[in-house]
Amino acid sequence: MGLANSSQMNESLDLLRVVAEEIKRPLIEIARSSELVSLTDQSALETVIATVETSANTALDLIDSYLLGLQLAGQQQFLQLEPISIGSVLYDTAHDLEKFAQVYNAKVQLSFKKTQRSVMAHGNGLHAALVNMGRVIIESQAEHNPPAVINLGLHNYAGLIVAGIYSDMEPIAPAYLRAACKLYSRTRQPFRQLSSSSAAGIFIAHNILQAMSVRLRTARYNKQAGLAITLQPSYQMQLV
Amino acid sequence: MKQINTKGIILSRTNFGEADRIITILTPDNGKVRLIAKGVRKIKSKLAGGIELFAVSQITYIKGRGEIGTLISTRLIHYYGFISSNLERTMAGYDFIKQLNRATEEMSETGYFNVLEASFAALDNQNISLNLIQNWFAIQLLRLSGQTPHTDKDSAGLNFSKDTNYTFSFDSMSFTPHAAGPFNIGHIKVLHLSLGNNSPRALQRITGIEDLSRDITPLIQTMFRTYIRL
Amino acid sequence: MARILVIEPNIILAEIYKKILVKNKHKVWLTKDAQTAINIADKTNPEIVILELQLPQHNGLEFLYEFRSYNEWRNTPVIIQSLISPNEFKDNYILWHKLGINSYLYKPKSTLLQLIDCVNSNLSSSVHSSL
Repeated sequence: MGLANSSQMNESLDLLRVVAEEIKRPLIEIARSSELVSLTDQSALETVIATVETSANTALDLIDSYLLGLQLAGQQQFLQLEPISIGSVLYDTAHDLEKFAQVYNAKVQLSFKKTQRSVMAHGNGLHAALVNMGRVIIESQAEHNPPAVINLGLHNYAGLIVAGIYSDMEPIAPAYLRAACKLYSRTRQPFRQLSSSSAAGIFIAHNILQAMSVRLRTARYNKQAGLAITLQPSYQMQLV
Repeated sequence: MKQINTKGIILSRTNFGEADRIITILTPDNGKVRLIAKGVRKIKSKLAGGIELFAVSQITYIKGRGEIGTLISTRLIHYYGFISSNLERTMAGYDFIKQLNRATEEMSETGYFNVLEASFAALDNQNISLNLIQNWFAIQLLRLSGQTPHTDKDSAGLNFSKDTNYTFSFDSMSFTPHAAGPFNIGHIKVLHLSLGNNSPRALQRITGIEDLSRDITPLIQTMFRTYIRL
Repeated sequence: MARILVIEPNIILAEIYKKILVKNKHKVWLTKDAQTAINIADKTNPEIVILELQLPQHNGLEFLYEFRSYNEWRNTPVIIQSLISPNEFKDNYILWHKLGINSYLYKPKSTLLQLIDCVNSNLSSSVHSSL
């Protein structure tokens, strides 16, 4: 096996370890929620059902995104990027995060004007990356009261398009993000500033984006801090 | 009364009366000092601080007539935050603090601050193996207590040979050639370098260091338990 | 009825634990992080602490170290309820003896009923030891 392949294999195993740790959480949520219903009266049933459904879907999505990352990494040389409406991707992301946010007592908002801006990207990969980032941020920012507000934002920067997920979190230093993306397999809590969990969603997003030759970065937007993706604009759709 | 301004690492905090805390701090120049922090119970004072133990702070205090001085102010200089993102390293950090606190019970030796600071810096670096750091710390404590193995020459005063195996004698704290000995020149070299001015970070660069370090762990821990009273 | 401080960063699980403990007639305070836990403990003087080791900012060991440094909390029962398996720490003297862990529940394997049993048995031990 060549050195490059061996290193890719190690990276995949590292990520798998982190994903496996992360999946424990939604499964524990399902198990304890179900147990709670059996031990108490039925008044919490609706909440519990929502939790069970969301947790199960989170776990499944995590696995799917991990596999997508593997697939894209394997195809990297031949990966087809295409013009994508970034606004639509963010709308879809907000929609997919909505139920998750409700269960975690958070609110997801789109904070950009409707836009036809398009970017060169792998549509599924971009969407999966954003959803996974969003889940980590929502879960880490969740408070009992008041609900956390999570904004999906879009802006221009130095000729590029920046799509990101923001909240009232403490700003994350770029060096911290770089270190976490390098060392995530070596510690249980690689992104402790943001999350007490293994934050697998961030590293899955990082993996997917790397395969697309796109960077995950820290960013600020509208007085909030968060994580964002810098994308090349595409001019093709504008010509149509 | 004279105010002293120094760097320090907190070793422990305990209650004292209703409103005060006794804080034990390790400093570079005055060794271990015990200070009373008045009126800082829990969250009510600016000195209460966070619960960061793995940190170097700038400390101002007034030396008391007796054993205990009075803490005036603290300011965080550096917090080794990465240690607490890894539970094994957190526990290793606590081990170091406890061991050092006990080892310095009767003296105010100044080298201990540098050892603890370097140990925190190493724990804070994920690229340095935990086992290596633990061994290095134990060796440093042995060095500071004057209990060091001989690593320049073997028990007969001869240079170490690359083709020879060695055993270790605790009586003479030296290595003796032995056909079935578990140690080789690589192990002795690691021990020698650890006793010198080499940080864990420098040692990590040695080829095969993790295996060598693991091999000599029982030897180092036995020396440590034998000669360091905790 | 006991005053219980639950330190749990996952708010879904925190609410579940609160519901089951309240149903068993305990008074419960929830928090996500170690420093706030110390602040809440100062105000509420909990009789039991239920603690996850994997916390944001400061980990559960740091909380425990700080918590135990206060005389009034030296003997307060602490139940670890964590994602981390106890096998990871089985040889660690500091954790088991110095930091005073009364019980350890591994989240993937422990049920809510086991949590309640654990709380009750730690409460009755601390009543006996104070008599």
